[in-house]
Amino acid sequence: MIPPCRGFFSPSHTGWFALFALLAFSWPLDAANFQVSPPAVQLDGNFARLQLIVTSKDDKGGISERSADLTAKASYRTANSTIVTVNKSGQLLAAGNGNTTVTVGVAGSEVSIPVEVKGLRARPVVGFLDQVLPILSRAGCNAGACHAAQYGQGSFKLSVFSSESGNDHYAIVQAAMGRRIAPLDPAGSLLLQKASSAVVHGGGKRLDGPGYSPDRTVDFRILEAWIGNGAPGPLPSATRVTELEVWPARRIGSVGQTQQLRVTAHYSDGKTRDVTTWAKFDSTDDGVVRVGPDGVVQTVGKGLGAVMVRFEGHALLSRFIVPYSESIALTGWVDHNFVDHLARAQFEQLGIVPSPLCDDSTFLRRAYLDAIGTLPGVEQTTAFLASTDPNKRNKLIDRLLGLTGDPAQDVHLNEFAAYWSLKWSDLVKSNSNNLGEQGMWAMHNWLKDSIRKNKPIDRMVRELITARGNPYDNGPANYYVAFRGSEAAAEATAQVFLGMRVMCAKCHHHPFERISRSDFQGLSDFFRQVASKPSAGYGKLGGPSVILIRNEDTLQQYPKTILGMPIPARLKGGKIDRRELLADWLTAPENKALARNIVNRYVGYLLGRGLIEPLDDLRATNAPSNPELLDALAEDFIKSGYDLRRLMRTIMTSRLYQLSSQPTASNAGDRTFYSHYLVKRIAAEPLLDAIDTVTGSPTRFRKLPLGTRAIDLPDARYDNYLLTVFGKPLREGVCECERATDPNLAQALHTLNSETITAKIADPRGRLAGLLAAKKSDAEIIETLYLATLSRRPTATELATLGKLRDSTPDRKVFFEDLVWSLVNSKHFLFVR
Amino acid sequence: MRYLVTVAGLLLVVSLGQAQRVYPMIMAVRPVAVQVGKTSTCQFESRYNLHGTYRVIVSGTGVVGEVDPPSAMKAGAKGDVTRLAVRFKTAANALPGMRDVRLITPQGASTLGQIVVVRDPIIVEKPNNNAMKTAQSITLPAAVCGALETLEDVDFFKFKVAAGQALTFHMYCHRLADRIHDLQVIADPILILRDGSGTILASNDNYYAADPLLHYKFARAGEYYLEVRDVRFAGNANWTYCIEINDRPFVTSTLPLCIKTGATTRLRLAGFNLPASEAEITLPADEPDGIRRYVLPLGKDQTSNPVPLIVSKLPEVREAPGDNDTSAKAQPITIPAGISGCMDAADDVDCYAFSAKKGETFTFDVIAQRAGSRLDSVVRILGPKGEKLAENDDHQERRSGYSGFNLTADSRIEGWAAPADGRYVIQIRDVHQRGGPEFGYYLQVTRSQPTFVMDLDTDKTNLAPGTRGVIHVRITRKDGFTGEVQLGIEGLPEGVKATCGRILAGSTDGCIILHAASDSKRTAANVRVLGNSTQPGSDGKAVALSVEARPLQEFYNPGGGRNHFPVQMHTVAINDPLDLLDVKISPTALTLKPGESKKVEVEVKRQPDFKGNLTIDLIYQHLDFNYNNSLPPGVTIDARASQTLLTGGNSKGWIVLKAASDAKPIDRQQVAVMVHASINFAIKFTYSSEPLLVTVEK
Repeated sequence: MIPPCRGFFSPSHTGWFALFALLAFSWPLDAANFQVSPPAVQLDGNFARLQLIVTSKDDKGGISERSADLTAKASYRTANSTIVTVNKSGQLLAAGNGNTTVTVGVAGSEVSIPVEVKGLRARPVVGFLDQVLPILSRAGCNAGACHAAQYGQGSFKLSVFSSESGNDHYAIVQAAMGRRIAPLDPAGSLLLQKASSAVVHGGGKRLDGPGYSPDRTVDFRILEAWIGNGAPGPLPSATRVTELEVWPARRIGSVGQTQQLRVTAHYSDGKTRDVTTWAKFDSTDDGVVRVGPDGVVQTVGKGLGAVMVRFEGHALLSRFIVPYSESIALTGWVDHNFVDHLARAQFEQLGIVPSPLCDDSTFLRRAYLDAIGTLPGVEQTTAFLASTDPNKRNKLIDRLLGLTGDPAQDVHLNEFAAYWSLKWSDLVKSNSNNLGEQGMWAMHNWLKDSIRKNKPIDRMVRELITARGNPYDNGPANYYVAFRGSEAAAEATAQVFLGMRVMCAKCHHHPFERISRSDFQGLSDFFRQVASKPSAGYGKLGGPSVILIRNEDTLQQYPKTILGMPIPARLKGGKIDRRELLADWLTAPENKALARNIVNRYVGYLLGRGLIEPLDDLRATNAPSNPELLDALAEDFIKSGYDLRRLMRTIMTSRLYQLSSQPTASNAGDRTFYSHYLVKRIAAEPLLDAIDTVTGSPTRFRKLPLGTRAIDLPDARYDNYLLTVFGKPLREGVCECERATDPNLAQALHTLNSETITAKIADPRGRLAGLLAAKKSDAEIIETLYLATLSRRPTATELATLGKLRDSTPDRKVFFEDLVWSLVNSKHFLFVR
Repeated sequence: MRYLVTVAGLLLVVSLGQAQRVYPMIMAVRPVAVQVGKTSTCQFESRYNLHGTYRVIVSGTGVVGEVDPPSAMKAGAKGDVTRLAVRFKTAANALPGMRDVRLITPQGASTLGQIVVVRDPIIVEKPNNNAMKTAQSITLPAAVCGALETLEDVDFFKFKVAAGQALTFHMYCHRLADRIHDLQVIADPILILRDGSGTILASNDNYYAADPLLHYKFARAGEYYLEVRDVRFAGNANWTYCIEINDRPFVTSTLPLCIKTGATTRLRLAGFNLPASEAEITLPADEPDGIRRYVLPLGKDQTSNPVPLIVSKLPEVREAPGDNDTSAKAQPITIPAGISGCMDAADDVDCYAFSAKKGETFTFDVIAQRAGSRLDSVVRILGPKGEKLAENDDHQERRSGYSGFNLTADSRIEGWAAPADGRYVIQIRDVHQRGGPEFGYYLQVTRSQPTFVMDLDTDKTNLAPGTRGVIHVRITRKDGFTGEVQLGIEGLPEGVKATCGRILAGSTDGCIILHAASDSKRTAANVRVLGNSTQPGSDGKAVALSVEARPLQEFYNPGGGRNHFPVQMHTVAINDPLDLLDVKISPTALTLKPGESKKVEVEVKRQPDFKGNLTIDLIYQHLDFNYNNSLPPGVTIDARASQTLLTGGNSKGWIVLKAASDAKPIDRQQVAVMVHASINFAIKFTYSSEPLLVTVEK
């Protein structure tokens, strides 16, 4: 895993760099109100470059995350252009061996920095891996849309992001009878002619060739030199990038500011190199920051943004915070727990004032739907609203989560288990198409049982990963029915339990992560022992294939890393089943990846948005909106023994969870930092149950007895239009995105016009019919319907309006049917708010 | 009045006429249990006619049955009787568990039905118990009998328990449904326990294959609910069940699995509500070898449920304490040996070393699941350097696609020959690396003796006076047995004679043709079929070899495929006249030279009203799968030259037999010319001709 970005002057730098780092704090620059970084420069080798960064000092002469970047405003002058040149962006380029200075000027003040250039040779030595391929990557030659397309372009095919350097070298140097390079006339090589558009190139001009300033033709000249040297291929001994560093790693500013980034690569031989020119920059949120190809960032909006920096299979972020307001007062904010403490810190940093707490009615409905996917009953709502117990919210949460310790109070365990089994069934592709009917039921029942018993998630994960036996007997064994083959199992395991999408690394290096094909294969190797055999004893029922492992004679050992992440030293190999090793690693407390993934998902489920989005795309280049909160929740989750219910209690009892969904003027633009509760459309199954409950007219599902709730459905496919249109997933993949959460027109049209819903409202055995038959008064029926649908009583305004409508509607039954229809179609019903 | 009598007589004639094309098939028994020490009546439901049932055969001892009373059996519409009350008298010491029941009717012996012998009072499911609020109250202990009758059927029972009471719920359902002859979809039941609020406390789906076993200790006194359903919410009127619910000791397995005769064996017990961790059992010295169920004394007047145990007279070897996990640390044994061991913990491996000389052959047979162990064994033979020389995971006696034979995952290596003089190691482990007290095994290590096992297709032969039937016999050769097997039969009912064929050396199939005398009376008897052969002994002298055949009951898979499972009885019954009165062939002896073809004329004598289609065959086959072919090797049916389909009232056909040019000489091999009358797509009633003796000359 890439460690958090460090400052440029890292202790890991080699000797001379460390010397310069020391100098940075002692160099008597001058009295200028800006600082140049680095304070001294050493350029080593032909084509060596370095990006200077000029930063404004504060009143005390220091710099901080809030300091302004002056790089673009500064002027640069070299004392000897035969040794080093500098362009107007502050980028140095080695020209000849020797010592000189570069002077940086800002608003009349100047600072000179020493520059030493060495290692330049008359015949430059150019490496294929460390110099040629990065140029092709930067130029976009090996992008999927260009020569890394399935069949390449114009018969010239490169691997995606240089993931197969050997093949790339062959394609450039030997393929097509070697016509792409001309060692005797390197500049005339087709490779360079095309890239510089000297001859027609479908991809346009990718490099500046002869005729441009030396500063702009560096890449052309590097390739020219490489070809002139005979176009040597990748050497096994070649140095490789081990780590990438960006400076600054984090900035706090305001809209309209710019910041030059500098990217440094650390190599396996201990050397470092400024690769700003060859790095690729992308904004993760164009609404907050934009970035140019040269690494110049501009803040364009408020909030939290980041620039993703990529170079040679490595990627990391530079984060930018643009506060909404410079100073705020969180009046009345009281931390309920550490979630609130860390949320408050972020609100203060970002200058966002969160909304106040929601009312009891809203909280009750929200807590029920979020925790158990079920509407509170009329009696439960009435009792909760009437209670004056100041601790009633926490008590309700404990009852919903089954944490009271009293079986008489923990009466929602069935709903809890059903609702969360639904979520997990989605993730493990539990459907009868994949698993067969009995297999699907076995998985469903295992999930339900595990969740009902609050089995720690690390144990559930271990049971799934190491599952064996008959899939009819042992639910988790269906994991290997759903994900047949080691690659499918690896892909699913990474995404479900680590929140990492690694499928692209099956074919090429991950574009946004330092995950290579060998990393993916390494993960797949954990599943290569999995095999199957026919089952015995089931007779005519027909037993499924029994999951087992082969090659159990050899004690298995750990690889050096798993998906680039380290193996804790205390974990030893030497187990029969290699999956046990994976499970040990996944569930090791030192390995936060599982906890971060689970915590992020549950934050997303409960707060409407994950700390990282998408929920199952955790990577170094997809930063959490509140990293400290994610870390703290993960740490607490691990300490709790991977207790999901306690995690939910921590989140649900926080003030953050209980904020009103009504935004304030201050936080209306925020949909990232939970300053107000994010309104969610009720998912398909709870919504259908809610309609059934409100109308008192249950839905019948195929091969399930009448009265079975939609949250109890074990399978994926049911012939129910509401479930389909509201996005019940078919469980054909492991992506959270398979469950559609966005509202759409088809949904609205369905609830508005559905004959099924109309029939439910008018069901002669339904709720409304019962109320009418019981001779309840209009007021009683109205109140009951409001409590049943919206978990609140009607307001005086609503009562007045309803009174008028009632007076104008001669048919009492029609009036109340219309009322139920209106309530069911209201946003307050269809959404959790 | 005279008119009514005439009509009634006509109906009877019609019903009897139609009753000839029947295949009495027991589909369900309600209630499916009988209690020890009691007389109880069960309703048998059938497909096809049970009219006139005059005898009830129950497997094992201690349970006898009779039609209850015979006069209660009245003809329904069209004379069909598809519901029949049978009264069972169950002795107090009858062994609990499943029993096979066969009804003998004038139309033939029925397929096997099942009942469960239980110890506790039987409670029959009442209607309208499909929800908690309408749950049926039951008093425990009890054996609850019901059915998962329809799609989405759920049965609820409520009962009271004391604080701290621990109950065991043992359900028979899948095991019952699995043995119904023509049931296309099989039950997969689940048991779920709920408290008064409906909250699920515990559940179990599969323990005995798809049947659940659930044990739960109730912390609080109160009323609780048992939910019973098919796990898929599927249902079928024939999916009956019996759930034994009690707080008595329930043994799931023992260690060792093997008990000796003429001595006392101390057993370590695994299970529920056990008053002690051990029990002792003493068997008489003449107790025969085999796997049988025994009730164990547990002290304080308590006994266990019947527990499967192995009786063996092989020299006993107990797994020694300590590490025998590796080849180097293997426990030495001498052969023959019966090794009792256990996978004590996860990842356990047990190794036993023996010495062998080059060419010596051995058989290694693991008995585990057959005796109630949870072990899914893998057995290997390792060489001097630990290299794997042989391995078996799940042994299948017959690689025939008969899923019914794949009953357990026990492993076996047959006829392994030592490649050189030296030390070898038997390694045994669980295929899933599991372990614990329920993972015991009994490993029989013997010097290989050529032998065979023998199966009968099917479990019954129905004859009418004057007609013939055929019993198909197939052997599976073991440990290098190559000899010829002469078939024999014992216990035939009066009036029936048998002509026993042989299984040729190197072949697998033979037949026995039964002939009921034309004046024979309705009767039935269970028969034993024996295969006799000789095998050269170690001294070169012939050693007699006699093997009793195992009957197989056929059943039909979804789609019409034919399959089998082993049962305990083959019944020969003499019925009322059937569709055919006789099958004649000409000639009855046929001599073929290599490359020669000859015709066998076939003529059937039909009942006057029987015009149904018939097919003639010499090979017992279904959907291109061959179940018996007693023809000499190299002799085949020339289908193009044969007339095997007799449509309408046609009574004559022929079969042309052809000898291959390389057919080996064979003298007078007995085959049966079969005439099949289809009952439906899958089921047929088979008649046989008198024996056809086929000779192949040089």
